[in-house]
Amino acid sequence: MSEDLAHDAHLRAALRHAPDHALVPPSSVSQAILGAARQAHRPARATPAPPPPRMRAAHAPMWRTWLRQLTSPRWAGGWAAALVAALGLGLWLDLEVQPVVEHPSAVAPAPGPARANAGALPETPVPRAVEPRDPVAASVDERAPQESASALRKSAPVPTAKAERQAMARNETARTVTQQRADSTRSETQGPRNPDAPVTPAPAPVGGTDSTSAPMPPPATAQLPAAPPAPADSGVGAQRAAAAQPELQARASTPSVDELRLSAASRGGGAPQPAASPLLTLLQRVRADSAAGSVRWTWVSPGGAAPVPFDDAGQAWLQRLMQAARGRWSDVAERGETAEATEVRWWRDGWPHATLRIEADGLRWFDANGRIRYAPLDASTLQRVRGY
Amino acid sequence: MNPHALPPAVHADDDDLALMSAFAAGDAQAFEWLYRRHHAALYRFVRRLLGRDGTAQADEVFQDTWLRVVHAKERYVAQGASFRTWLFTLAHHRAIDVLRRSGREVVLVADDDAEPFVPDGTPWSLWPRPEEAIDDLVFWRRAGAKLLDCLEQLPIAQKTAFLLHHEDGISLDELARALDIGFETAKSRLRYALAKLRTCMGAYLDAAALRPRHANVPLRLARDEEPTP
Repeated sequence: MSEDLAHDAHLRAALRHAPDHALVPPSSVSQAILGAARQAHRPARATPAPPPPRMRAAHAPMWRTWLRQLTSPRWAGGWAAALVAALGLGLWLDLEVQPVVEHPSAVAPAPGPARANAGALPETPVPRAVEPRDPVAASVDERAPQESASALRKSAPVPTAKAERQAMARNETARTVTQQRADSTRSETQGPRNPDAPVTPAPAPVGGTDSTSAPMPPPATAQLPAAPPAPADSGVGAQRAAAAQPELQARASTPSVDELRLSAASRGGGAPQPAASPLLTLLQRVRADSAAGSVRWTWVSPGGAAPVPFDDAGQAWLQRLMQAARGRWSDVAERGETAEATEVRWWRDGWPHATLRIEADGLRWFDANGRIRYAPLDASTLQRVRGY
Repeated sequence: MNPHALPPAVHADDDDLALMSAFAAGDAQAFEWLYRRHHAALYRFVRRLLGRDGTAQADEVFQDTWLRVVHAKERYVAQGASFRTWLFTLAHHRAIDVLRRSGREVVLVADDDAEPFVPDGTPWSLWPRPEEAIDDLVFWRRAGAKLLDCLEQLPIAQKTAFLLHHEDGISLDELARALDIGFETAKSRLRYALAKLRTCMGAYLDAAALRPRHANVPLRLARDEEPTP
């Protein structure tokens, strides 16, 4: 080594006395290094243990990492919430469009906002007239249809693709059932039959919007008195079932609906059009207002002279009358005879609401908007309901 | 390696290879001895190598260097170089990486400078002749500060060669092997570094020519006497 490359004593002395000669690394750095050295020997001394999940995750495949993250508590909570929400939504949609199989002794569901969409209800095996519309929507009050329609629009769920598919599937199923029933009815009518047997009306169509089906009455809806528009519960169901029992018994002893309807049509000079029971609509309206407690109902009872509050006794009478005339209502144009008739009037907050005339052969209902409905009844029934 | 075997007993005066072997065998205390022995010099080397602009990265380079030692404990084999040379070489490579990452120009091929070295600032006129001995502490402290300024002006390759050779006592052969360069290259780098530093320190200036400007300043400064720059 040449002389000039030997250690320069002066430069070395200057290096030793440089201001940074006493520098030492920060203690935190030293602790980190020594800690890492101690840590490096722990796995070597102890039995090799599997690394913690987070360390293994760094070497795991991407999909496994994602799966582990998705199953972490934070994501699991989100998934659970989404699942519950989806389940609730599905149940709600199912409840909205679930076809109701009506049984004679079964409980009719309470009218709900989606009943307007429930046009594809299967027909009840009991031959009777059906009420085509939502009782609430068929209210006689002039303002009521608008309010009900708006309420229906508001409460009706936004149609989704799934809901539309479900509705289409139900309509298809209902169409098939209707066709089968029509075929069976056709075979019955074409075959030998007893001329004394009552005329059985054709089953109501289950697909209200199906133009290919035979012209039949609109789909059946609830005819039993129901509570104000609210979710049905078991208590109300039991009450309805109990109320339906005497009706079935009375129905067996009363003339056929079609016989009465045909006779009324012959007297009225026109084909009767099945209509919803105005009594049911009135009763539901009264109960709804009573629950709200904001509307005052008054009436002139049969044989009464002045308006009095439409109390529970009056409602019970109205319910009996409704059961007696159930399924017999139809739209008519005649105003009927006024002689030997008993009139019953209702007021809602002082405004005339409707008039019921108990005539010699039936009930005639006058809405405030001019609509007239008629329900033929036999004399014994009329005599029974005439007394309040 | 048997994990249940007791680590070999180590002592503070064991050489680096023995301590490193003990550390690889599972004795963390051996690493602490190694760390205590070399941490100050290595930290100083890293700080000087990175310069004033790289002070912020000095801790990172220093820590990474020691962590590499920890992770390479079982792979470490003394291949002609001492543990200290290997340690400083690791730090050098890591410093180069940091400098490149920070966007600074790193000239490793600086074995033949085409242009003459012109040091920044005024050369120090008080640099003693090689045969002169100065035992004044203040003088050397000022000389040390001046030398750090001069080091800032060296390319990192020459700076590395000078620091490893003069500060850490690594021979030219070992320097060449550690930096994976030829002996002549190492020799050239060191020569250029020394020449530039001596120029910067005023060692090549004519002392007689400087004396008139500093006539009142004796060449050999007495202790505690403040020199006049």
